[in-house]
Amino acid sequence: MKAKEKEDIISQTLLQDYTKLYRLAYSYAKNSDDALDIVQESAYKAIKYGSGLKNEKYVSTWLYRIVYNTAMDFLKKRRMEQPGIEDYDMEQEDQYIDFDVMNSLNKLEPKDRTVLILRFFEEQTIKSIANITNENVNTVKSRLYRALDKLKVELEEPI
Amino acid sequence: MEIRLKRNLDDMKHAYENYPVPMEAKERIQMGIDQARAEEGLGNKHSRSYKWVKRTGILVAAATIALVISVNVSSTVAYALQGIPILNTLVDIITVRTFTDKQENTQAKVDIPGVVISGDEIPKELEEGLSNLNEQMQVYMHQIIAQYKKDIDEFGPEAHESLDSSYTIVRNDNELLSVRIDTVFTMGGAANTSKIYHLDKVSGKTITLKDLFEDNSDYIQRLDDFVWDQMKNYNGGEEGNPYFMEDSNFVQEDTNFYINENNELVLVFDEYEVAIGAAGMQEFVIPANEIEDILKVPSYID
Repeated sequence: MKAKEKEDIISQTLLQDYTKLYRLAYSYAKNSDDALDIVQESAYKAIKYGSGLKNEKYVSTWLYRIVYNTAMDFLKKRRMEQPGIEDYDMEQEDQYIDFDVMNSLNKLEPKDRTVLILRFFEEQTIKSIANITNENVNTVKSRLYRALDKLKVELEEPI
Repeated sequence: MEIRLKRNLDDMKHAYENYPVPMEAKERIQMGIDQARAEEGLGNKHSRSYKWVKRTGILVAAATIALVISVNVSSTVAYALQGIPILNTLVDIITVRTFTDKQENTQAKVDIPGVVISGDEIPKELEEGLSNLNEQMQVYMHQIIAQYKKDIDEFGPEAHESLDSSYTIVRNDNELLSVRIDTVFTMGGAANTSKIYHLDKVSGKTITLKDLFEDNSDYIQRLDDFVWDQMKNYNGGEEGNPYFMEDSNFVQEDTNFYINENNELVLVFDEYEVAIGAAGMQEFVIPANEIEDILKVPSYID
C-alpha cells in the first residue's frame, strides 16, 4: 500500500468516524474545547505518523489508539498544570448538557472508562481494546469487570 | 433484576451514541489533516512541540509548523512565484486548499492562503513568523467555514446562503508582507468583510495598527478624529451622508489597515461598520502629516 493511498484511507476514515473519535475524546476532556483540541491533534498525528499503520484493515482501531494516547497525554498535562484536580472531577465540565451518561462514566477511573466505552458503546473486541490501550487481555477484562461493578451493572452474558 | 440492569447499559449506550458532537469537530479534524500534509514538504526538518492553549480551541505550535512549504520540493510552486527577491529568499502565497460546497440553496468557495518561502538561508525569525501568520490565517478561514456549516446545519435548505472568500497580496517587499482576505457572505443581502494581515519580514513579527505608533501615543483618538472629520465632510452625490455620524470610536486596535504604494496608511472598514450597507466597504487614506509626530520610527510610512 503506497504512502499516498494509506494517507487517503486515514483521512477518509478520520472524517467518517469523527463523531466516535470526538465522543471518546470528550469522555476524557469533559468539555468541548479540550475535546476539539484532542481530536485535532489526533488527526494531525494520524496523518503525520501514518507509517505506523501496518494494515489498513485496522485503521479504525489505530485511530482509537491515537485518540486514547493523545487524551492520556492531555490528562497528564492537565494534572500537572492544575494539581489537585482529579480526572473524574466535575470542574472542567460544560454546564449546559444533560450528561447522565457522562456523569455515570465519570465515576470510573479513566482507563476503566475507556474499556467500558470501547467494549459496550463502540463494540470493539477485547483483543482490539488490548491493542488500543497497549495492555494485555486479562488487564482489559479486569478493568471491564471493575467498571461494571462500579456502575452496578450485571450482564446476562459473559464479557 | 439482571434484565433491568442490562437495559441500563443499553440506555447508557444509546445516550452515549446520541451525545451531541459539535460541527466544529469535523472542521478541526480537517485542520489537523491539512497541517500534517503541509508539513510533508518540510520533511521533518523541525521537531514540533505544542502548547495546549486552553479555551481557545486551537493548538499553538512552539516551532515551525503548518504550511511553510519548502519550495525546493515543489517545482510547480516555484514557477508560480512572483515574490521579490531579498538576498536569496523568496516569499509568496499559494492556495493551500479551496473549500467548496454546493447544496440546494447554498454554495461556498473559500480559498485558504498559505505563505511559502524558499531560499538557502532562511532567517529563523522570518520562518517562525510566517508559520505563525499561516496559522492565524488558517484559524480565521476555518472559523468562517465552520460558521457556514453551522448555518446549514441549523437552517437546512432554508439557509439560502453563499460564501465566497479570496485573498490578495497587498504588499510584498523587503520589509513588509501584507495579505488581505476578502469574504463576501450573502444571506438575504450581502455583507463584505475583510481581514488584513501584516508581517515584518525582518523581525518576523505580526504587525497590528498599534505597532505603527509610539507606545503611549493616542493614536486611536487621532485616527478616529481624522476619520470622523472625513465623514462629516462627505461631499458626494445626492443620496446624502452614508456614515453613522452619531457613532464614534470607529477606530479600534484591531482596525484593518494597509500601506499603499505611496507608503500611506489606509484604514479599511467592513460594510456596515461605519456606513450604511449600500455604501460598501470604506477606506480612508491618512495623510502622513496627520500622524507624523506619533509614528514609530523607522516606519513603513512616509
